[in-house]
Amino acid sequence: MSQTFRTAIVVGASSGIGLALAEQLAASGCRVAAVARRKDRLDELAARFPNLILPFAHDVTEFGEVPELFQQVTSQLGGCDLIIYASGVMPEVGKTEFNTEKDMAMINVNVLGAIAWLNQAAIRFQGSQSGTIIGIGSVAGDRGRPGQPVYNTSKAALSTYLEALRNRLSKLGVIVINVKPGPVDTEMTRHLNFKNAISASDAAKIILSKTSRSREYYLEPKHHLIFAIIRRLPSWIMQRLGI
Amino acid sequence: MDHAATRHLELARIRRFDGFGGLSPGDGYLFEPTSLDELRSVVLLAEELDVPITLRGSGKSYGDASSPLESVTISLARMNRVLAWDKETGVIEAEGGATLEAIWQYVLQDGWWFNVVSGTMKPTLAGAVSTNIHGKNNITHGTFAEHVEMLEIMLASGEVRQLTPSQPEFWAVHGGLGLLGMVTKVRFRLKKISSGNVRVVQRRVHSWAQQFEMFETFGDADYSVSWVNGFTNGAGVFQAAWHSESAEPETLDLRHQKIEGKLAGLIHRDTAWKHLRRITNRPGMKIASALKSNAARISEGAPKDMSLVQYNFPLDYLPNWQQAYVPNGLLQFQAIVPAQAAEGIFSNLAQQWRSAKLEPYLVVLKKHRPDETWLRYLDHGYSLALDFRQTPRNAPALNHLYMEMADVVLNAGGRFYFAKDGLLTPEQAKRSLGEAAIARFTALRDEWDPKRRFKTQLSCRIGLDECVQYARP
Repeated sequence: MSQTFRTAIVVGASSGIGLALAEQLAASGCRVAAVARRKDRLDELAARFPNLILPFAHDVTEFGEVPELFQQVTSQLGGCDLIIYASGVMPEVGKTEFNTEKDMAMINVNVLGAIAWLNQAAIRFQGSQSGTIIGIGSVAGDRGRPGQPVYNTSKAALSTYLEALRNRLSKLGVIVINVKPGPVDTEMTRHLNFKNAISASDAAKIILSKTSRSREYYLEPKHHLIFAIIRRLPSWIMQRLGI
Repeated sequence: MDHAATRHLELARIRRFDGFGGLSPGDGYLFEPTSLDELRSVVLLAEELDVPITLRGSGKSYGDASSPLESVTISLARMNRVLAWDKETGVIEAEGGATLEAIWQYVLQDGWWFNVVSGTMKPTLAGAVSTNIHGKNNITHGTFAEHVEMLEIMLASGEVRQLTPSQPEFWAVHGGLGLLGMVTKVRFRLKKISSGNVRVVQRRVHSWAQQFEMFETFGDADYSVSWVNGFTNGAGVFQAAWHSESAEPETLDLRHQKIEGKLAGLIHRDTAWKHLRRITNRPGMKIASALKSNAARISEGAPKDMSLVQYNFPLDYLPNWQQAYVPNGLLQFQAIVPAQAAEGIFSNLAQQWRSAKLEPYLVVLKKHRPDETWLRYLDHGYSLALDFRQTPRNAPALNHLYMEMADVVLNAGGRFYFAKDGLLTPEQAKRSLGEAAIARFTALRDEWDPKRRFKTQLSCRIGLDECVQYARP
């Protein structure tokens, strides 16, 4: 871990990368507020790290609850040095399917939930002139692709939001990071049957090793080159490639 | 102030606070009331939301004495008026947020100065009371408390009380570490002076025994202090000073007291810490300490006049000098030990820090007498204040050394000053303060603040409060 954190909030800590991050932070001695919808999983996690993981059951689409809950969390935690927004959904979407309900769920969880939580952190860190914000983005946010139009949209929105936060807050000493994982083996992505996916634990290890400065980066080094090319491809080539 | 309508504190009030040493950060919701009514509304808001309150003065305590824990953090910086000044008797009354700096600038032209001041002019009166500050004349003038005639305090209930030295609680609030309430007003005595200068003499000393001899030899001095070279076992430079007795009205002018000019004619004082940082390491300070000893060889013959400000407030001479101790910070240790044991203990401590190669970069020796406060930290004897530079690499060894040295002091019946501590454990704090003193203080807190509204990181660390949310790496 490049930096020692005393207190952290992990939103989306019941599974996947969020769970691995909460576990690794707690293992390093950090007190972690684990926020997620599934209380039973949080309780099980907290039982494994007594006094280090504090469970908070919360549905990130209940945006109105966040300001008060955020203060409860920081009060019980005794501060907040780091917040990681790792909640995300990616329902299966058919190649010809346009399903507004699924799309709204993605926007609500992946974007609006992030804004609700990270805005609170941004206000706090703006005042304390310290702190680290990490958003778990995705390579999927780099282009609009036929397979997951709104998932792409949601991760692009998150990326732009985090860039704006970075441009506002970095000069105050706040670190804002957007991590863009490629294929990671989690419950959310299992239906995609990724080959060569990295484990959530390895992903968390990399994320916690790169917290010393504000930036946006790809989790896997090879993606820096691949997505540098993909980002620059003209739209008509993207259409032909169909990727 | 209309905050009570919301069910949580306004997040935009969050600020990061730290001790002077930079090793005790904590976040709190900052409130800066301008009147007793506003102050009371903040206290009642904290009560309604069941949030602790941490009192914050100028933040000059080295450790965590005013570091919050997600608390409502009250600064009296805007309650800083001088309320009454009698230039005939030298008695002044001011609000708790007034700083020592504001006070001397107010009274000096009338020919008055503090009986007791700290090494910096930045503390507020409320802070000076709460930490019961002492100076280089502790042996003759005691602590700040001895010169206070009346203080006003707002309790956790919002009730305001006035206390005088005849009331026992007066001696609990002094040195009470801000855990009993907010000191909103202080009336205290100053001393008459005819000059804004002091006459200073220096003597080089080569051992601990010689150090103590100097304090006896110059027992008539108004001020006495010794700088010890941390790279030796007791050698250093002793300094005694007397107020000038001749009338020198021009030196009472504020312009005479102003610290200005460049260092060595080259370096701006405001940015000098950046240069200081380059030598704030073991080899750099070893050389600097040797140079300081040698410089005293030249200056020890002739007495030298210094302005009161320059002499009394050396910590303000180079603004932000503590920044030279980054990346981690400045860890301070101040132990007060009985006079008869001082030589042996200080020699033992010096051997420990030298064998660990963790020499303090500043070592200050002073002579003391006991104070009368409930959480007494002074005794008949001597104190040694040590400034250590903590780095990521030396932190474990330094913390170990600190604990070992603390046990040596406590085993000899010594005490610690909590405005200058950042590491002592509840058990060590109990030995320093004494169980009876803690029990008496706790009983008063039970009466005045049964819900323990007033808390700091320090009160949690040394076991005066239970704080489940207080996490340390």
